[in-house]
Amino acid sequence: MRLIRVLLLPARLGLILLMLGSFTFLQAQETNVRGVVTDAETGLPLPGTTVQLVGTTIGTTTSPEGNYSIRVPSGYNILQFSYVGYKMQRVSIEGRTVIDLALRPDALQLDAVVVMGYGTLSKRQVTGSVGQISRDDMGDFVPRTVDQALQGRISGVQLTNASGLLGSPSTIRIRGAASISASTAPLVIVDGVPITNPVTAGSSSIGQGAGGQGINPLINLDPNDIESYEVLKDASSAAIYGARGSNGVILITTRRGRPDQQIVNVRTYTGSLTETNRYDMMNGEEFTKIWNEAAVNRFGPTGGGLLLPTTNIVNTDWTDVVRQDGKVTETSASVTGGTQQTRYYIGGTYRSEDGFVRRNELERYSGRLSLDHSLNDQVRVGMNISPSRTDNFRVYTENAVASAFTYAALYYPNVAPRKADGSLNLSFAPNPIGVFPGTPLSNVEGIDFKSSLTQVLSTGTLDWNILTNLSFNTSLSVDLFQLTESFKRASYTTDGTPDGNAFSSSDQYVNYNINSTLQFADQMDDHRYSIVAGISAVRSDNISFSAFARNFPTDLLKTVSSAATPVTTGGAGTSFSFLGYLSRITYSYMDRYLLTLSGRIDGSSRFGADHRYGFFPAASAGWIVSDEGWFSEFGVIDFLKLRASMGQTGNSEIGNFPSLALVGSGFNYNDVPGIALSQLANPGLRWEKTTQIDGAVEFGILGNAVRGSVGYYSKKTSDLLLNVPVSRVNGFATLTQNIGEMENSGLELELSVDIFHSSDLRWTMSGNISTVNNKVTKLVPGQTEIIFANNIVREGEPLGAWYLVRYNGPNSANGNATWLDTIGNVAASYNLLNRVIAGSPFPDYFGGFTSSFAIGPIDATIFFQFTKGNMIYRGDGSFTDSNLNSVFNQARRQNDYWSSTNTGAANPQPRLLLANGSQASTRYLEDGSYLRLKTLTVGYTLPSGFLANMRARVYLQGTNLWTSSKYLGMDPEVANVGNINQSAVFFQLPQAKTLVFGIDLTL
Amino acid sequence: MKRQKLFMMAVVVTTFIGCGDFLVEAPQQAIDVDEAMTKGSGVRAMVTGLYSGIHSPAIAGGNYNVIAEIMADNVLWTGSFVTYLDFHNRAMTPANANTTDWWTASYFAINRANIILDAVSTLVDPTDPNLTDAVKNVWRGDAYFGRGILLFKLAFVYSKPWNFTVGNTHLAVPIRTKPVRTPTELENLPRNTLAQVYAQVQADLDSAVNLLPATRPAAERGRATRHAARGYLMRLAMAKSDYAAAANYAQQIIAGGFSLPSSPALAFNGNKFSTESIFEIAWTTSDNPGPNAGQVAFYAPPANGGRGDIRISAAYVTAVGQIITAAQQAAVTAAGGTATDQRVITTAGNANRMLNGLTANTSATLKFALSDRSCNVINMRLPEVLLTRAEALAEQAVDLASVPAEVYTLLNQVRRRAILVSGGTSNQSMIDHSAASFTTKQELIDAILLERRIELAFEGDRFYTLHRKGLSIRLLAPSDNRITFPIPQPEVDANPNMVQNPGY
Repeated sequence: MRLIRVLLLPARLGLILLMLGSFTFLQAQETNVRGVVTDAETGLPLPGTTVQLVGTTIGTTTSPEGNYSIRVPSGYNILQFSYVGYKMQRVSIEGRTVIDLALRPDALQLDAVVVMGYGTLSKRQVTGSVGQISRDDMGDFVPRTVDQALQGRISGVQLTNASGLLGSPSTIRIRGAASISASTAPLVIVDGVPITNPVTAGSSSIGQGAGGQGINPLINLDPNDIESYEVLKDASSAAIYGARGSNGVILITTRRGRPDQQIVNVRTYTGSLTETNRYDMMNGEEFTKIWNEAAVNRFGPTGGGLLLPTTNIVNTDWTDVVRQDGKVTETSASVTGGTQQTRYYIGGTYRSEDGFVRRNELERYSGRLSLDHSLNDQVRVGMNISPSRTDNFRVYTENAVASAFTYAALYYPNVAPRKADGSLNLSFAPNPIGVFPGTPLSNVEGIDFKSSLTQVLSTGTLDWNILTNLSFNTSLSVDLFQLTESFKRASYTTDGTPDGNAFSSSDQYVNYNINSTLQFADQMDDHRYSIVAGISAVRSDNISFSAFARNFPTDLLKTVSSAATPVTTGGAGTSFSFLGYLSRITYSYMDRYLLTLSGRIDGSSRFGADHRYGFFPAASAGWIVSDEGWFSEFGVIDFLKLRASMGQTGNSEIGNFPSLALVGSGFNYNDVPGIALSQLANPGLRWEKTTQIDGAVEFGILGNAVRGSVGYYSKKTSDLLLNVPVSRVNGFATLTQNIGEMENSGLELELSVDIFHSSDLRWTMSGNISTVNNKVTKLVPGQTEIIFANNIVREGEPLGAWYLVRYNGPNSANGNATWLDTIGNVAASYNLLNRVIAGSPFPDYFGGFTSSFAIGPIDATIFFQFTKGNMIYRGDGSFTDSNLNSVFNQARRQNDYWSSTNTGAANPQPRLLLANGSQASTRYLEDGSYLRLKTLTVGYTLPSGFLANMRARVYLQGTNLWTSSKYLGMDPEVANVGNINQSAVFFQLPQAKTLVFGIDLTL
Repeated sequence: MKRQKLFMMAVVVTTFIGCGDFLVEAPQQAIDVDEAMTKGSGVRAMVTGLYSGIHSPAIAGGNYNVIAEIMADNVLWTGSFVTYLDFHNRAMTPANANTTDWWTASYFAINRANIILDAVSTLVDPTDPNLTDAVKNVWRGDAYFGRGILLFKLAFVYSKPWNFTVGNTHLAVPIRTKPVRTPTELENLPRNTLAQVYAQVQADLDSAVNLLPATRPAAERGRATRHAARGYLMRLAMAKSDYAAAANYAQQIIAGGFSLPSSPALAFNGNKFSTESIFEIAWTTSDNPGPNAGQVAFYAPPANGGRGDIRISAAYVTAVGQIITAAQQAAVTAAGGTATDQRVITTAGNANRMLNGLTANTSATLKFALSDRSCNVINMRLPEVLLTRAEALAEQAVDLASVPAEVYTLLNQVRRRAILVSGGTSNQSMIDHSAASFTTKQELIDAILLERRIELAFEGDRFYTLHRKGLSIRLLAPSDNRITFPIPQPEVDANPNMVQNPGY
């Protein structure tokens, strides 16, 4: 009921604005104007050109023959013609009824539509910092998931993949990290609907972590359906999202039908998928040698009875045993078209991937139907429904012993995977000490782990052109998101021993979202302005169940109900809601002096009673210098625009009930239920605030063949939520408070150059590069730093700077590991007091560059992506490069260990089960810089008429084909989803290298 | 147009009904603290929450045992957790997660005890017919017991040993007796002296002895009795080398009706709450520390559901060989019999098997080897009390000759249950110790400590015994800086009144 009331709220607002707007209402006669629109260079018709009556919301698009017809009420005299890739033109009607027009191509695409929150603007009018990737920019590259489209293509946007496992999430950061305790992930909005992101604080994945990363919450979106991605980077563009805008906003717009033009598109590709890298571990003989020396070094000549036999040594490469050659196939089809009255888009995709780890598979089925129908000249209704299903057969992720590649690296190489009769060899003989129950192979074969996501995102819209210059728009969306997960671990696996266990869970999220806006636009002489005002309400409900049981009669049975002994059950629910009132006013004078004001009043159930609502304002201004009359003197510069903005946004990803004093349940004893105080009250708790200034120069020179932008931003976040440590003698570890400040600043550069641009030869190079300078500026009073294991949050230093003892290699005299103290003197023993700041997890700069080339029917695109200067802590090093302080297999480079005959060795003397240099230190801190060939595509477009009237293109496309990096782990492109230990990795799997062959057919 | 405007108006009218509660969401899994503590059911659940806190694997539910054993000389740590390896190498740092958790879990539970004591003092709940004074007194007893043992174990590891300074004015841990429920109740308490902490422990456990029942009904198994409270008073007295008091507490417990089953194995694994058990931490199939914490995870070999991280040490194997003296073995052999120490049975298939082998650095104990990880933690059992009284009586004697006969009776009671001599009961006395077995009182005490080492092996006792006796712990004195735990760095960082231990 509450929801319905909120739903109707906008109508109240609507009425007020209706009254305000009605003074411009003119009851008058109408005429009709028609004509044809063509390309000025080729003379061919331009179907799909938008024709707009300036000062009104009346508009239409041209037919496949380039024809249009538009009604013109008296009092309006200017028609605006725009088409993506062409210069916008305005024409005075002057009483004519037929107007034909030729449009000129425009490299700058100043009139392209940019999707902003709650409306659109032309690129010319944008005064904030908005990155855009359209379907055309992507060319023929279809990423595996929608988030991948953003990698390396927009300045200031850093996307890092968390793992090479199928369905893994990525970490997206826009202009650095703006929070310590709350999430640093941007708000993702699909067609106006915030997508399900049930996870709070710092993470952007869902589902069972199972030892590492969960599932990418964007996995259900089909990249084939996407029309454009817009990234709102600065406060002026993001402030309209108020308390959720601090980390930036990603707007994803899906495809809709275009009138009078039926286009059938079928795309299919298939190919191989392999790991980009793998660990080079010791074989059985090498392992036996280092083991026996380590045992003697530790326990004396008898090796403590732990010596390994030196004859008949088995050599097993466990990675070979658990990997496979993966494959990927995707087929999608779409139909778009319609009439001026009714437009449609129907699309469907099937995707199947087999990962490079055995039994890692993913299947996605998705469909989308969007329909727009005009009831009359004034009222248009639309709907968009997209059901999708992803079945992900998962394997354990990296930080779990059961994880295939992890255990394969660590397990004894001197053990055969199978016995002579072909059955699993579960014995660790001849080794004297077992590692864990189960082997890498038994874990692969004995674990069934499946996650299924079913999502139905439905939106209904109503557009009502109340007056020629006033329209009302409302949309209601329901996002149903169901995640079911189950695993069965057989009795012979690491975590299933001794009698098997199984888990099953179901999580359901239902998000309701209502947006209603009134849009008003008018023009007086050279003054043009538009106003958007609206209301937005979101409510999210979650309910979940889970069950875990063990003791299976046989490993053949797989589900919880077959188990004899229930272990735990769970059932929980939680909710949150947001209510926002928003407005944006844009004003321009002579189309060259631009001003935008925006603001939002946002309230949320998450905030304390004292601070339920907040106000988030922003302002920005632009000046198109090149439109000034005097500018033409500056010959080579064709276009120059200056813009600047400032404003404030918030971060509300702070958990659902952080302000209440709670007694929680689950503190049970001997199966009797108990409670305990779980959280101290803090009714003053509120969102984190980010104040950002932003400025940029946009330019086009040499006939706009060279174009780009240079920008600077500075983001100051205050009221950072910190779990302020308190003396634990009080019975609590922390008290959550709005304390703390942080800064992010940086330069962003984007550049595109058309080297050749003619109808049969085209070569464009483009690239972007960004810097990010992150600094924590204020912590709790009286406290200048917070130490988290290997990271530190210290005033004046980047968030989560590496804080480690410096490793100084082995002492050549005795093979002991040595260290450096804080002033750089050699220290013989390891002491945490000698920790120093040893590097930043943030890159100095990052970006990407593309070169696209076309000659005749042949096209080629190459895309590189890079990051420079970030340090990664390779946590797996303390296992694989530990000179055998444990029982685990060692990396082959560990063969170079200290002994009396090899005193110049790189690694200390191995001592079985004794740490000699394997403590956390800079030994495992490595440069994460890399340059990677992300995609390479070569395509050939078949001559027209070759396949009836179809356009057909065939191509070969590779991803992650080549990487340059000094990093010793499997892949430098890895990330931890945490804020503070963002680049602490543990056996994270490399990205997949794919090579596919594809065909696109367009009819 | 007119119709549309009318429709718009209608919509507006219907929306004037307020929507001010849209942004109010209530949590579904939690309740407000002040409301909970005015209900009998709330306090009752908080008492369970106190035991839940005590049974954390970071303290009594696991690490009271696991870490103590790794620190001492019966085991070798072979696992991958470096925080545990630090204890083996006696290289803990203030950042060590396990010492931090020991501190944190203890004070979290102490706060629950303080909340209970505060709530019970004013608790009136007419809606709860079961809320009698007797019930409330037991809850108070639970709270005093919990606070007493938690403070005792904190002081024992974070402080130098008793008598390290004259008057024991050296620093132990802060004593917190007031509840914290709101931010205004937060304080930065300094460390109290060891004398003050032990006095508080004494007072709390004295209260617990008075308030707690002698036995618990089946539904309350795993909670403290007055014997458990006396047992901790006995341990406290031994930590202070107050042998007279310790002997007295032990005597009271021995009179409490406990008895030894026929085999030591019958106190472990599936044999929960055996007749020799005095205080046990309950774990169940649905509530246990899981695969990466607690006794089963670390002690049990992979075949028994554990990680097998803890192996028996060479020193332990040597000690096992010393249990039956050469003279005793000769007597048994002469009688044509064999002596079997049931505590070290390694034969697969034997119901009383307690080790999977007796090879140093390789074999592991099977005391905690239920693959569903539901083994209870045997926190205190009768043999410890018997051996403690034996030791305390012997220590009070001026020399070997004046050691009372009861010492040998107590010692042999443990030995006869553990060591079976074939050929009937007449042969059983062949492995008895008597005054004739020793030439000095110290030899007798060493024999008692050796018995204790084998009997209570892998139960966390060895570290406590070496520590309180001032004996070398793998070459380090108990007062060595590397033996005393570092105060956790988060506490030092957050509490300006906190002083770190020397050496860290």
